[in-house]
Amino acid sequence: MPDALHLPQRVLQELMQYALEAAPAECCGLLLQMPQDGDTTSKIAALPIRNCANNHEYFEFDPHEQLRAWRQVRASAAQVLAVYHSHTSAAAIPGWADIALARMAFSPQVLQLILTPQARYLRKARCFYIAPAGQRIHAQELPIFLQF
Amino acid sequence: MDIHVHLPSILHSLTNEQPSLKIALPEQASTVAGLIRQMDTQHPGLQARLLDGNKVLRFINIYVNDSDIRFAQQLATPLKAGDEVVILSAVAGGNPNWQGSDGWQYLLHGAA
Repeated sequence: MPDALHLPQRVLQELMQYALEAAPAECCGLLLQMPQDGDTTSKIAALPIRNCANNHEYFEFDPHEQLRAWRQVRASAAQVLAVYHSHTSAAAIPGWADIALARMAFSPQVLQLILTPQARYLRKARCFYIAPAGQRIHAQELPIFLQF
Repeated sequence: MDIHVHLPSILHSLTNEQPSLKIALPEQASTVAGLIRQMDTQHPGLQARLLDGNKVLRFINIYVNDSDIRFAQQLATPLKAGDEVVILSAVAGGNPNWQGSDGWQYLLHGAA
């Protein structure tokens, strides 16, 4: 199980901007670890994907954009670190549907990053590990370590 | 005829961890439905994770050569030799206030 999310500060700012621009609808996308040529370190990048639900309580990746993202990830040999999405009418904690649908789409190694861009929710970003079904704890919050 | 199929990682446990399959499909079964039946004979349990009766599960996306079958002929979408089929789990979620919609019952299917 991952023990934290290491995130460049500029990427977090970028994600919060996506969330602000999409509000009141939820924004969504992937957080990728991109291999870099001739370098053992890798770069983290956000890949925004359209929320085809265009809803303030629910998100769903646009299927056409999801396919394009899948091809892009395969072609670049990137690793999916997390799915990010925003909450615009609730706190940055996973709802039951967040948990159930995350389990259906990804292995637990893919984290869930929830953003709340509005001031009333303290403009937070919180990261969660979604445990496999059948365990006592459904979601465990992980620290986000910002890189500058 | 041979069809190349790519499966979501969540289903790799049913295919001996193979992310992609090459399926030999008889001409008389050259539809997406026929493909799924053929895959299930080789990898039992796959059909149940993709279909609910004669419909694709709500949170499964199936594409034939970049075209979503929902905008073609659904499970009757024809296939030809060399076609590429990509199957992805829909990525979605609802916040703690979300009451659900027509897809809510499918959230319990395969979540265990």
